[in-house]
Amino acid sequence: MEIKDTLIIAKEFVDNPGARDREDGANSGQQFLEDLFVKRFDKAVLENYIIMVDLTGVLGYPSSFVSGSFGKLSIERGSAILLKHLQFKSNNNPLNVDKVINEIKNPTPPKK
Amino acid sequence: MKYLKLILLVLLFLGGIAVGYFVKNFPIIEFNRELKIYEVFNLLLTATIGVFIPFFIKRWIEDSRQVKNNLIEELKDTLKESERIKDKIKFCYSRNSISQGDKDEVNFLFEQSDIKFNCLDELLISTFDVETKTMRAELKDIYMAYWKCVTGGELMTSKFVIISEDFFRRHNESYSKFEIKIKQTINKVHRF
Repeated sequence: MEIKDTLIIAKEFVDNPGARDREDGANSGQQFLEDLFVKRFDKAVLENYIIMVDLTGVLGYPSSFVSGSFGKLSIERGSAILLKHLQFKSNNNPLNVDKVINEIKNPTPPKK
Repeated sequence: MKYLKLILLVLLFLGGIAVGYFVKNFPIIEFNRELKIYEVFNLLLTATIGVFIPFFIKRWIEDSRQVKNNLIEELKDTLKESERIKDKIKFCYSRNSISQGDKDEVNFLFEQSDIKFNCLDELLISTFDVETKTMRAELKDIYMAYWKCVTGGELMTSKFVIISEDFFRRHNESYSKFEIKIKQTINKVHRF
């Protein structure tokens, strides 16, 4: 499978991601997931290609944003399909990639 | 050049004859004819060990010490970088307020701390890859747990404008675990 799409979070969303859910404040993980990411992801699954998610250029990723976006999608669709259709890179901070992959593999349960 | 080599060869040959003649006729060193050849080798071996081994061992010890010192410095620097997050939380707690700007700063400080953590990880891999495998995994788990504790809950929500007692206590507990792990790692590196 080849990479046919690249999503640069700092350019296409924001460089200061926020909390988990919309009700928690601006630039939430839920906002990113529903308004931007899920459509691109569904297209990648349908047309069978990989999206390169570029995590570079963001001031810092809060854990709540990561769990509200990638974690939530992993709970809904399963980690295997996410890991099949997504690749991550972070030029200056490789730990960001570990954080996201860790969240996909072990998603934080949603708050009750 | 060819003649020079020939002259040198002749001179060496003549020098050898001269040395042989002097040793035979003017003996400075008296050789004990009962001396066994293995005793001579034994003496030479002892002298070699006495001179070369301390030189190499000393150098090896010094190199190894320097590598450990670098690692310990990197561990201390990693802790110092993460201390900035702790100090920021402590400052907001004592001020009794936390703004969106403060929260963005906490995220930025984590980003900086991550970069330092990556440096440490790379250094541990390049120096003691096998010996530190478990240690690296444990350090990363505790560091990730600290990041989740601070930025994974109520702190990022817009309603969270004061650092609560409960959040501050959980933060301190999580940071202490990371601090202890770093200090334990320093002790382990000393013992490598």
